[in-house]
Amino acid sequence: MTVRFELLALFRHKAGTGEIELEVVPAGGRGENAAGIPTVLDALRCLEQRAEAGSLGALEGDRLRKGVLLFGRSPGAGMRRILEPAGEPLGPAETLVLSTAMEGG
Amino acid sequence: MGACSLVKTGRVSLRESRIRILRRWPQTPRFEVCRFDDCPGLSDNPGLSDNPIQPCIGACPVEAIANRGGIVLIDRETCTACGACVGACPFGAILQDEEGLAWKCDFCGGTPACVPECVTAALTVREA
Amino acid sequence: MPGSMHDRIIRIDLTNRKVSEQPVDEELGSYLGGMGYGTKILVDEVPPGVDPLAPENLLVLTVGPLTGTMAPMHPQSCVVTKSPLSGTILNSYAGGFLGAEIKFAGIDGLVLAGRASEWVLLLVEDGRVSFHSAEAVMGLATGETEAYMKRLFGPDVRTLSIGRAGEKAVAMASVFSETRVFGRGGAGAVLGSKRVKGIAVRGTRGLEVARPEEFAALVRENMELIRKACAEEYNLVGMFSRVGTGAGMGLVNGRGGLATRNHEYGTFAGAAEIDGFAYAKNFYTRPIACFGCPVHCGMLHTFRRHDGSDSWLRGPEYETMYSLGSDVLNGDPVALAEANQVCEEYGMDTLTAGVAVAWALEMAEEGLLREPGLALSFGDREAILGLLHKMGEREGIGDLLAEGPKRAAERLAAQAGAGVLGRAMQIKNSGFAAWMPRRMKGTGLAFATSNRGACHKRAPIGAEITGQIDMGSTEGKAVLVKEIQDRVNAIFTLISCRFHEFVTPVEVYPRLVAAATGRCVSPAEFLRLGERIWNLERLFNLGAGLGRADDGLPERCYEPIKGESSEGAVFGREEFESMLDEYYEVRGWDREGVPTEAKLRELGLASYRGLAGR
Repeated sequence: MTVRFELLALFRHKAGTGEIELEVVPAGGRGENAAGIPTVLDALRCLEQRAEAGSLGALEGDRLRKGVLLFGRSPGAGMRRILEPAGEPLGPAETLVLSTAMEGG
Repeated sequence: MGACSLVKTGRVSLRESRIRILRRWPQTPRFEVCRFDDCPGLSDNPGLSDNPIQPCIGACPVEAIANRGGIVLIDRETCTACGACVGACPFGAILQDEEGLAWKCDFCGGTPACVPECVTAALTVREA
Repeated sequence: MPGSMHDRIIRIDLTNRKVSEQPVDEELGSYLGGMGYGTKILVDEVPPGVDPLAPENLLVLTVGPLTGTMAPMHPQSCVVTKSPLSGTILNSYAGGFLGAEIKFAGIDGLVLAGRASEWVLLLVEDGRVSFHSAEAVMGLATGETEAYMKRLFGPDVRTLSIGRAGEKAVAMASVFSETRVFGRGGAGAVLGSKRVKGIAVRGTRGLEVARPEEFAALVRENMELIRKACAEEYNLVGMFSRVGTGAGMGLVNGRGGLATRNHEYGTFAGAAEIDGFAYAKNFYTRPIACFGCPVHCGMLHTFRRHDGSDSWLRGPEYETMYSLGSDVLNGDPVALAEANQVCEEYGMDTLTAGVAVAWALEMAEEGLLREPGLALSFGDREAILGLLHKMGEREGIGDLLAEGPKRAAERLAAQAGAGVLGRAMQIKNSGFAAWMPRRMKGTGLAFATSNRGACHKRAPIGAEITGQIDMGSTEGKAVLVKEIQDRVNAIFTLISCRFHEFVTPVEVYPRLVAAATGRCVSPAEFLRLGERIWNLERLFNLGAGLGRADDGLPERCYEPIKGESSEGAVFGREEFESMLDEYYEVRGWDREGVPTEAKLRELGLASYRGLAGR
């Protein structure tokens, strides 16, 4: 399954690019759900392997590292925050947006 | 500077800090603090000591300053407030108080209070 | 009992060159310091209808109970005055070292009253004030003025100054202090109206706290908290410490909330070239800190200007990356730095100045404004720098823009029709900070209801932009905004850096205050103090003639933001008005936004009812 990643803020600078497209295969075990559809966690694991400038460090085990923000954007459905990558199946034509935190200033 | 004055006087009192940092962006800051054995003015003075001594020690006319195991200390009882050491110090580390008596960093007896407070670890203790 | 406040405020009568003591009684003391002191003194003494540039206005500069102590991230001093930009009460802050020096001078603040007969520089030395001619520095930039004061008074003084903009009563003129700025609201014009070009402070005294061991333990705990936060790679304050406040632009841009081309769009194609990471990679040389701060979010950067000369700048900050960057379609980091420098030299708020420039560029592209010798179009470096210069000098079109975006638009509307007004992105004549009300509705409410206009300091920005709460919804936002406004008001009495509260739970503040001053304040009372101050400000603003209509959004906010990422985000008129209704209700105000008798009694402010003039 093809997944497009949009990398923002520190992730963009680490990877050296704002966009990465990947082929995601379900990893089996924890990441796989009953229907064999890859999850967001599978996609993140693939991203970690692909990342240009070394590991992006977005994951800590199966969960997002503290301060990492993950959103899913589907055409026509806007952006939704994803808190648990392991439990989220990838939607068709989904873009995953990875960013670090923001506050006022 | 805050930590030093707090430990030495019980107050946050930057004027009484034994280490002073002067900003002058975009140049790097200037540090006024005793560097003990890392002093460029170290020279021999067999009359005063078997080891090389710092310029402040040599300048003091009443031998109020001594190098005790690497730590340069001022004896305020002996000090006559002449100010010679102030001018001799290449780092501007010695100041005079209201009575004119000289004071400087005493290395907190071995564990300087300032070093762990520095958030960027710009201060380090090195063996000479 | 020793404590970290001196209970001593100096009043300077500039008209008669007289110095006296401003009384600090029990009632004033209950406001703790900082914004509390400033607000209380101002509302007690200055009639809300006063002309902000008249001698009757006061400029109150204060510090708080944690200023000058080892409590980390409390370097700020606070200016409170009536704003010549918004006509409201203004509170404005600058970090650096001025605050600590004021404390070490043995005072909790200064009250500047009247107007000097000739331009002066003031020297405050351990509570003694002397007046000096400013003749030699008239017309000079802020940095040059401060360098002069250090040559004249000694290199150890801490200084503040105004530039040519303050001298010329530019409505968004700011007050500078050694690379940090009292940016918003035109405090520089007030100082200029008093003919004070600069102030130097020397404090040689020490500062004690009431309960030193307890305080030291709290400080150590707080430092641990901050260090842990900074050590986490993706912690926001940690990122501030590494690349400055520009760390989050990517996310805002990605979510279609980065105001671009005078708030027409929510995404800027050039954002990655001008965000904090870009500057860190290509320009920043070192972080510099304010007094007692481990975060050191100030980023010094050296760069080569377009004319080939070398220069340096502390900044730009995130907010400026919007106002002189995306909002004016400026994707050139060097031009952005140059524009920031122009504002620094003149002493002007980069936010309101940038908003005025963006408006002017849009008007110019529609053929409604022109300036001889200056081709005005978005993204044009000459245009942006040229307009800023003209504003600082009040020359040509700059004289119009120097009045602030609302007044400038009103003047133009007289010839060009009311349509131009809706494109001036301002509230109460104060230019929008770097956020889009249509995209982040809670932040939009905070902008609209801010007592100083379009201010982001008391907005639920993080929660909305990170998707913690739904930024497109107005539900629950009224309560949230009130809470933040009250809480931030409270911490601005101490005076906390805004970022301190990002890592520190609010319960810690009363404990720090107790150990520093011996004064016991419960967490509820502490937040109540914030609410009290907010209501005092509101009463003053009402007395100054503002009302519900001034808590409104410009017309552009009722049109969808262009660009796919913004998902057509827009405010409905009904939607905004009912959120505003809810906010007034939550605040205990009537439908016009006037605090009710019951609310004032609850806050112990019944005696101030007359202040609102209704």
